[in-house]
Amino acid sequence: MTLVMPLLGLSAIGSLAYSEATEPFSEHQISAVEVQLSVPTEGHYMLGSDIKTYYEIRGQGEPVLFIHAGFNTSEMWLSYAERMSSDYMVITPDSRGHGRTTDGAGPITYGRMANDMVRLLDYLNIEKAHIVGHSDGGVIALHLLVDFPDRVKSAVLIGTPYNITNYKPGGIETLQEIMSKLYAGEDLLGFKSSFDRLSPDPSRYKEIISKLTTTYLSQPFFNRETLESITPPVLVIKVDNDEYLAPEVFDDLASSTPNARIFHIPEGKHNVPRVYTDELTKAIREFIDSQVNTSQQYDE
Amino acid sequence: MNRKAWYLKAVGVTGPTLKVLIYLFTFLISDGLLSSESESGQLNVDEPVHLAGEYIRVDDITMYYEASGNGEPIIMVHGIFGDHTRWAQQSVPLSAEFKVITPDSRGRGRTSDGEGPLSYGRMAADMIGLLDHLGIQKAHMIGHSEGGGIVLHALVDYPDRVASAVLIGAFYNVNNKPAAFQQRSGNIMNKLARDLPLTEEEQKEVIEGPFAYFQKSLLSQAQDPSRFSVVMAKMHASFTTQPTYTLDVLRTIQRPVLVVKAGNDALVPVQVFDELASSIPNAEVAEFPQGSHMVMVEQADEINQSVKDFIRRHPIEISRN
Repeated sequence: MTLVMPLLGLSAIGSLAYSEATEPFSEHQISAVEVQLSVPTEGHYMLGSDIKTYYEIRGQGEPVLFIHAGFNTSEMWLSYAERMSSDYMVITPDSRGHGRTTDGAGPITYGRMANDMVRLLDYLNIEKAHIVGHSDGGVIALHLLVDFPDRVKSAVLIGTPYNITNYKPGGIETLQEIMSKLYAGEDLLGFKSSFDRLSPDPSRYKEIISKLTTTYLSQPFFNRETLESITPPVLVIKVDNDEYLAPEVFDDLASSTPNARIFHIPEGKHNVPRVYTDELTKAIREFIDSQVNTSQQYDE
Repeated sequence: MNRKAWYLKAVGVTGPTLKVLIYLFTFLISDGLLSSESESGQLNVDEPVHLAGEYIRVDDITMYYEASGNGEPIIMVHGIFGDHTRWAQQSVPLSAEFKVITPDSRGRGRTSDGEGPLSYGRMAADMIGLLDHLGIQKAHMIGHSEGGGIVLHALVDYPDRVASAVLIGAFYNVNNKPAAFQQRSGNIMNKLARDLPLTEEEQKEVIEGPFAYFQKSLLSQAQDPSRFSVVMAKMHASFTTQPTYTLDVLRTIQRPVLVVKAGNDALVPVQVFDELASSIPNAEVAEFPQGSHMVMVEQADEINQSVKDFIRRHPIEISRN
């Protein structure tokens, strides 16, 4: 922590001082954007906030927002997009500071990234979406469930902690070690090489690692009472062999969240979305379809 | 249901004469005409100053705010039962030097509650939406009680929009507050939300306690008073489960923060102010040994002086890319 914290002060660079803003600074005012919803595979950029958000969008139907894990990018969902875009609108953004999305002047906290996702929904004119989140992406989904439930039709949580104490013993120390090595430039988890390949500004690498370290060593901070206040339907993917998360985390999520159910993949590890693509695709489809059918019944 | 009807129903009054009496009494109390030692405080503004008020669209709500003065912007975020008038003794004096902006939080005063919850994260996002609307990149933020929790969320998630912050009667975790107070207030909120009858003691609390300010505020100015039960339910959910910050989260805050340490706050134990001050890396402390939860009302001049000194020492940085 001591190694990286001083760098955080740099995060304000690039922001306009209040006195210099001649026009209303609206993060909802989008300019210089290219939206071509009909083009199936091309990526797009959303401007207008302190970041440039990269996202891909494919297909028509119920909107499903897939939020990737830490050290990952939207690429992790490609096989899901292929399997689901025939029947759903599959949206796969790169989170703040990840892939082709810039890190901006703000921190890379789960709360801020949840707000980034809401801005993307605003921009795409989507009032409510189904959310699928893996690991960090699941924590962002939890923030959406807590702070923006009116924008969430349902959520699928994969490999998702709700509190920093959910990690297995030694988990935080391991994470700290990983972050130090990443900061030193080691290509752990292929993150550095992926960053160099995709980032719009590879020189931001160390600052982004610093921002992520700050978040990883203090968040998430939800507890069971928070989960009890969640209203939208939730599907918890439970695995028995997650290397980072204690197995009871999945039971906590499912038992405390009022409208939750479990899909169990006993042999699964933390990387379950990559290994059990077919099983998960089927579970996600069935879950979303059951929610859509339920809400249609209520509409009648 | 008209405004009087829902209010009286909320306080569980049935006799027609009693209705009128309680109704009048509540107005007298919350107008400050009768003094009360309760959290509702006393507003000693001799001549009401009418500031420029405006309604704007932020996210899913219509937000009301008032603004006055020129200079570096200060956003002042009121507590759970408050509205912009809580800052009556700050907004006028401070506006001689600063642009003072006093919004009504989601579901309070003249701001609608929208589709969303009254969660701290959502309300922090509302404040950023207000900054966006006003074309303000960075502002100083002052938060009282729940407003302090909202400002803490802004410090964690939007530090690039916060120049400095002042925390008054603030807490960082739902468990910071005394259990008895939590229990009592939570029960009342739950009953009001579900239209359940209140005990005599609870009715007294609603009429004389901090709820009175809230009731008066909604009664006199809410966009849609029929939302009372819904707002109460949302408030109950947030009040009983949030915020859930830890000392580790406070340690990540990078902005300069002034913690007002009141020695006589019945709702926030003094150790919470110490924890805020010792955990936030760039924190300073302003000591008010006699101060209660409403210290900015009781010792307005001293608080205003502390705020001015602090903000002057932390001018908004003009950074260029």
